Amino acid sequence: MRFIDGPNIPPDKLAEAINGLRRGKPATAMFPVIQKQSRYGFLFEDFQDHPAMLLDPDPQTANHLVRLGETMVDPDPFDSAADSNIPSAYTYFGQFIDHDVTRQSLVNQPTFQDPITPMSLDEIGSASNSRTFGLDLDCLYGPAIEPNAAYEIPRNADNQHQLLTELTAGEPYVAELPREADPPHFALIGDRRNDENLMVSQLHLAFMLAHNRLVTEGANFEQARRILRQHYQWLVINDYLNWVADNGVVTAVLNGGLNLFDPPDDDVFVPLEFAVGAFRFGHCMIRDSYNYNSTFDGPFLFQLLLPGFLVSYHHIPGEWIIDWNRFLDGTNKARRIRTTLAQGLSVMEDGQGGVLPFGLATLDLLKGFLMRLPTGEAIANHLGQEISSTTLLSVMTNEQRTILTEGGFENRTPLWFYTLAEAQAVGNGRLGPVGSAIVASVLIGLARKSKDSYLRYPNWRPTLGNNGQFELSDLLRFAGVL
Amino acid sequence: MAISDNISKKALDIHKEFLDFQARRIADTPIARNVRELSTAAILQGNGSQAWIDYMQLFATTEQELDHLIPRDNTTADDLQKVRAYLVANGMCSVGTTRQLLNNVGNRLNV
Repeated sequence: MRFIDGPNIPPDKLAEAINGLRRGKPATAMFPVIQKQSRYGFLFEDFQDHPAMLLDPDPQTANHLVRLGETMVDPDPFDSAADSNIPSAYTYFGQFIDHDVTRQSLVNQPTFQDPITPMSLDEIGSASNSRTFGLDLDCLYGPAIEPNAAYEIPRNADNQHQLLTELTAGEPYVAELPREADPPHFALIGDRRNDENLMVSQLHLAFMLAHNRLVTEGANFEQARRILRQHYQWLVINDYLNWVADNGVVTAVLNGGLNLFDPPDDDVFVPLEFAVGAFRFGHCMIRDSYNYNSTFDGPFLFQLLLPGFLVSYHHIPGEWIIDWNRFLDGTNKARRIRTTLAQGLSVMEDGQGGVLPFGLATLDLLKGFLMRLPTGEAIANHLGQEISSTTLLSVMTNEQRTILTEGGFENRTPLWFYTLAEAQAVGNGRLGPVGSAIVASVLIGLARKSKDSYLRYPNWRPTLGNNGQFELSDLLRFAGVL
Repeated sequence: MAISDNISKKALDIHKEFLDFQARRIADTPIARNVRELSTAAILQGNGSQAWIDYMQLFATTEQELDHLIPRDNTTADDLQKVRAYLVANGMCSVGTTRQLLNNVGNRLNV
């Protein structure tokens, strides 16, 4: 069942649209200030010297990727056979993690280029990350991306150790993000992307409420921040990765048996193979509709988006507060990691009154091409984790197989697409060996380099859950929203 | 399909039309305009009028659903009447905000 069609880009608009991607995200009304906090780099830098390990730089490659992206649409969003066992709360926890470590923009604007070819290493080197590299909750604690350089994330006027929260519009009056007085009522938080949809917005709120409860129980601001950061890092490594990655790979990374990412302390970077490639697997976990709460038991994805939602309201209406139970108990399961995305993601609004020329899948594929990501096979060979092309192709649609052949992607598969196909073929509901290795290595590596990293204290155990255990549900319960 | 699904389906139609309009694939938004005009007429002519029925028909796929939306099934408690009023009012907005047809309604009118 297809209920949303893609944008069908006119050929003459393709080059212009792709050049828009080359620039990265410019400053906009929603994000007026972009400051560099860290840099990007490659996990496998040597591969850049071996063209066979990258996609063919021929301009036709971009056209093939556009075609491939247009095939990556969930054929039936209501087919429960394509659901995973992963509760949907982890879809949005993944988005929250992504926003904590990466937001790409370019310092030097690249020149318009037609035909389209990958960016130069110099251009890529000028890309800045406006998020700190660490798992440090900069979305809560800053530095904020917006709205200006002097911006300070608002604190509770009655207790400066607490973060400011406000109340929903209408009953039930419960905590909500603080917002600007004027429409569209941007959230006054460290990263407005965490107000992109109702789920991630309220996950952000849950972290704020957890911080405030720690203060209520006696911590000062700095102590609450440290405790919450450490519990967040624990969640990423011991809960999130447990759901999405191969547990053997996670263990190997933790005990040093697999070591792909160990940058020096004074030059920690966010790997592009992670940020623009493998970690985007989360895009295919998004559902087209959610059983959201007792009043809204089947809204479509677009009905859950912010801040357009707030044209008529200063705050989220009370009736739109999420029922987290439904996102943890299996009522809403993430879609399986596979080579299709929700139909609602095949058209993306640009936030400025228009639509992007690409759906999300095409955007992800083109980003990987422009940023010179190595192919999936190159990394699989390096790791000794090859999967036969027959196995990989077997999980794809006929249309996808055709494009992979015609586009020269057989044995040179775009990394992101490879990660999804590998998961579908051998992942048993999780990422496969290459996806797991990249995602686990980078997240654990970044956690090790983070401010307040709990991994520096071998005997550290979470204290906010039960019996030394701590899961996302415990965080939500501690925050008072579950 | 429940009435809330019918409302979401109409919201989806408006949303798709909105995306097509933003992408300059169409020059007008007749679905949204129709909802807005029917809603305006329903408000001006009031509960029980033909305009009210015409508007509620947008969200009914069965006679039972229409009877419940108008209402002519004796479900006239204040809380339900308030929800019906919201459903009519939600249709008044422009194309960008009509997507929130479900606000203050949800599944409260389901039969």
